[in-house]
Amino acid sequence: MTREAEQQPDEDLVALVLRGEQERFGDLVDRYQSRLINYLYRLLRNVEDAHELAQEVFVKVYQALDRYDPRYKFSTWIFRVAQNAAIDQIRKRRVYFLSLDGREDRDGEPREWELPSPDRGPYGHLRNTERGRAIQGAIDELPWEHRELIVLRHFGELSYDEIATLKEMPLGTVKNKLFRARQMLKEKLADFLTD
Amino acid sequence: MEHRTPQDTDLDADLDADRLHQLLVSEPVPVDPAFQARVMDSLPAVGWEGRARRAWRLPVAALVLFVAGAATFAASSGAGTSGASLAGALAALGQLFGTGLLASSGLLWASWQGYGLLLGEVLTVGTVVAFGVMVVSLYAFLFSMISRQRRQVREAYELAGRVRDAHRLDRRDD
Repeated sequence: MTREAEQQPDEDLVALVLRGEQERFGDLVDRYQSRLINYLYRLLRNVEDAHELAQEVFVKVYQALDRYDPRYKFSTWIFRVAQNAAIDQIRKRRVYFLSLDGREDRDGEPREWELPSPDRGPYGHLRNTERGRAIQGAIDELPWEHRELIVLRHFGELSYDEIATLKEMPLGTVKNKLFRARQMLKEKLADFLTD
Repeated sequence: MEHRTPQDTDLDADLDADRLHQLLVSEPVPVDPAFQARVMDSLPAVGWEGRARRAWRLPVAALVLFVAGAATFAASSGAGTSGASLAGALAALGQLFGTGLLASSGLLWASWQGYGLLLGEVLTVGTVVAFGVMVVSLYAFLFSMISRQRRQVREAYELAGRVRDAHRLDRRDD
């Protein structure tokens, strides 16, 4: 990304792309790729899936670029698309199975089990550090809503306002839930925080 | 006991949150260096691209070239002939095109005039008013039929609700 592109707001880059400078979309990709991939990785727990889904998100955003409303932040928009894509992906992984003796869980629903997604491939070795496993484990143990907020804030690098807009939640609720989620993470990762 | 001000507590909270943040992001996922290129290569053609000004540069340039070529052609071919004969040839071509259109549509100018005379006879003030009344009454009839159906459906739901409530009351009494 050129220095000039680094200084241009997202909305200006979008306007340039819509005027026909398609290559400026590459500047937007460059700006958001790391945040998006890291955000998706924390939800999907697989590096290749995160890259693949991030690519899909950028393509979807490009296709809908003429419908982007510049009154709202581009970051909120792209992460909303990413969030929906991640949820769809996670749902596809869920396997519902019925036990042979016909027993269901207490609510009468068939039990569900999410397919594990072992991280193989060229980046697999990086995930094997103890600290990395502990961090991901702690995030995975959070209730879904708290997990989303933590991932949006710390990996998506969204502000509180952006998160509140994206989740359609009052700002105070976002702050409270994030505070609670951080408390839970601090307890789980206490050993690494005292280092 | 050490006295802590609200600001101290807030500062500690901020430091804690900052330390947690540093820990969480200490193992970032590296982005594939070819990712950006892959995204750009996979971008599909989209409808809004056609509306972009730059997308029209080539067609406009081609059109300008065509017009320039046509003008040059006309000028160079007109050099050996008189302007009047060229204009006459173009007029004849235009007439041929117009006649061909009329002929292919199956109607001649005389037929159109015939229809005009007939409509002139039929369309009096009285007939126009009567036609208007017919149209309005037909719409009113259709509207009333649709409203009647919706009213019946609404009444059915209300009835179902009352029956359901009645059953609940019965069960509570048991």
